[in-house]
Amino acid sequence: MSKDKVGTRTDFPPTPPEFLPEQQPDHPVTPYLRMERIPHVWCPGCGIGTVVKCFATALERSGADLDKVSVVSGIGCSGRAAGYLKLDGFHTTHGRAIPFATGLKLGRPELEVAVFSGDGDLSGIGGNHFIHAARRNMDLLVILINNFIYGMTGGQNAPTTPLTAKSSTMPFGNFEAPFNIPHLAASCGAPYVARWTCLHIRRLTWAMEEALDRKGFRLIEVIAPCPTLYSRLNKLGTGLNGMRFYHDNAEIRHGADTRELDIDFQKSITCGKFVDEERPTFLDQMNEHYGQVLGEKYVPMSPEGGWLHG
Amino acid sequence: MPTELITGNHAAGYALSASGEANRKARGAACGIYPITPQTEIVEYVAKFPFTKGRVVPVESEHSAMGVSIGASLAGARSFTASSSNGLAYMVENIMVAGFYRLPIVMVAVNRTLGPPWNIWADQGDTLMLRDFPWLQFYCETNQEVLDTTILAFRLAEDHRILLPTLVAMDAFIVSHTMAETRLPEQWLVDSYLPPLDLPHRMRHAHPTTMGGLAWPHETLSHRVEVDEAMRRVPTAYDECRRLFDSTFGRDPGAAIQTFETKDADSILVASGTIATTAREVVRRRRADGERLGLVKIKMFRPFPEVEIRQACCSASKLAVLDRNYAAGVGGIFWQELRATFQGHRDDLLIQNYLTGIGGGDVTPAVVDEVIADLALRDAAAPPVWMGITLGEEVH
Ligand SMILES: Cc1ncc(C[n+]2csc(CCOP(=O)(O)OP(=O)(O)O)c2C)c(N)n1
Ligand code: SF4
Ligand SMILES: [Mg+2]
Repeated sequence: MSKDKVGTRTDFPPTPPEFLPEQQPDHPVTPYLRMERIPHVWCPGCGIGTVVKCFATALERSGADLDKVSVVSGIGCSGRAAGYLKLDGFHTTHGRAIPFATGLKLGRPELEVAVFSGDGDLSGIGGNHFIHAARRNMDLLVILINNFIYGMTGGQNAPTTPLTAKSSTMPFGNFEAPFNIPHLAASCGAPYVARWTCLHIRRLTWAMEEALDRKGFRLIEVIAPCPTLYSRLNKLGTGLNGMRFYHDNAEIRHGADTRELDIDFQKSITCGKFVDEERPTFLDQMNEHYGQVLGEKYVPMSPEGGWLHG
Repeated sequence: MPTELITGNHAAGYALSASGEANRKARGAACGIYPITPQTEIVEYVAKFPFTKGRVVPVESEHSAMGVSIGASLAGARSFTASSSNGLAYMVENIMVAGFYRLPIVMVAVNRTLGPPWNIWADQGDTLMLRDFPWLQFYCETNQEVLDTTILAFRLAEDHRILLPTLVAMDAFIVSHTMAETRLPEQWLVDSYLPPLDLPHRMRHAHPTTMGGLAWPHETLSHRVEVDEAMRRVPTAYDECRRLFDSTFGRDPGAAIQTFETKDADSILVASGTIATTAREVVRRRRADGERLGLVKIKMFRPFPEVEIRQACCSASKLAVLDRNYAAGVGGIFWQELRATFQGHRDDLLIQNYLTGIGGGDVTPAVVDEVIADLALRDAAAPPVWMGITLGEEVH
């Protein structure tokens, strides 16, 4: 479009193509998505869809039995992921994905339960559950999408908003120290902790695949652009600018000391796998403890949840 | 006084901020805020307001938001917050504490359906779930009413005869996001209406106190009796605040109940919030056709204005109560209050409940016409009627 034509576009807003799922050329992760719910709500340039795609690919590569994978999310733009993945799951109340997921895991120990939610949901209003699930090493894979802001409600300050960054409730810039999410998880005992950005598609997918293979409280923080709010309020450009920024400023340091993973406004972002250890999970510890204390009287729940199901 | 085209949320944000600012000669304003659709613009407005002496903390949850506001109020600051729907549900424990601490906190609530299923549209189930708490409750119809009632709420709540927190509610989107001409009072006028907050039981060095300790049953009993006495003083105090509001700002923020054509009405519609706006127009139209219809709009829900309602309905033989809320297993919450109001006074009165606009459905003039047609056919009250659904059909 030539410059003088700007403002005279007649195709705006563009009409979405007439949509019949069965006519669409299949995207490789189509079988993992609820195609009837597409188009999704995410803005152009948003990073969340990328994370969903990586997760679906990781599931495919891991060969997981999809009947045994469940996704639980809280509320937020990131929380919408549970509704688009064609897996059993639920969209819980704001901040409470981890307790719901804990109940699910304890009721059906054979399930792989993944929690998929935002920085505000998991580290703000639901922060308490996050630290306690890590402390008891609850067997959950937690994917925390950090866009440094509350996206869904319109760009308010989050516990992850970097110092000096602007948000709608800190219009003169944030002065509260943000959480260092990997350090928070690691210091509460999480045995698997990694951070990637939306640009690191392959590494993120590998990390998810690897984490699916581990046990206990596994945290993957994914830094994602929110062009509509965080980038706009801070004049950081489009989603593409966000990707360029990650390209130029993400630094991979596997095994880095988690104390050094703070994210400053528009400074480097350290990515990598920081913790990968073995630690007995909640269920391991419970079974062992009751086995010792109660002896034969204790009958651990069978891996199939003691349920006859078909 | 400038008139501006603003939303209901903007009106609420303005009223909270100007009222907080009016306490700058005393201990200023302080509060915790947490966003939720459709209330978000209110807390964003407050966060951006250049308070002379004010502190606004964007905390991590509604529970903490009310916690911060409670602490601030006990310290003598003018305190307030805003929320909606599941935010109110999550805040509940501290909402109750604010009431039993007798703190004059003002909260604006935007009525939104409680989830699940997730739904952001209008429904009063959220604030009505707080109906048994020691809070005053007002339901507003227009942006101007939201603004005026919010400012008035501070004066009423801080009155030493009352000292109870106050909730000002408006319908999601229909008021919160709709722009209307609204008169914004200048700061000096708000200053003159709201004297510096003097909370008698605020924290002081001279009299160290511990709030909220363990109490014996008889102590708790007298505490509840005091709340009840304060509630009973509200109607008089409210009318005083209203008259003073009128002489200060030149506007009447509205009586506890507002009647329209009730004098000789045979059938009366009872509604609150924006349903009252629609119902009033229907009554106006049908009155012109000679029907003896009337409307009672309930603005003050706590304390419930029983006496005024009984007086307003003395000519009626039938009432239709339109509830945009549903108490499971019972029916409409306003309807329950209405039945209790007339019990033992007018046992001949037919009080029929219509559940309408639940989950945010539109309550159009056609719906109100349907209610009136249904009421006309009844000679005895039946269980609540669900509008907008044909029972007996399979519901998907
Ligand atoms: C109890 C409660 N309070 C507030 C809200 C409103 N709310 C919905 S999403 C959200 C923040 C989401 O932020 P984040 O978790 O970072 O997700 P994002 O949208 O950024 O992906 C808030 C405050 C709610 N749904 N429930
Ligand atoms: S508001 Fe931000 S986080 Fe939400 S969908 Fe849009 S870009 Fe993504
Ligand atoms: Mg976020």
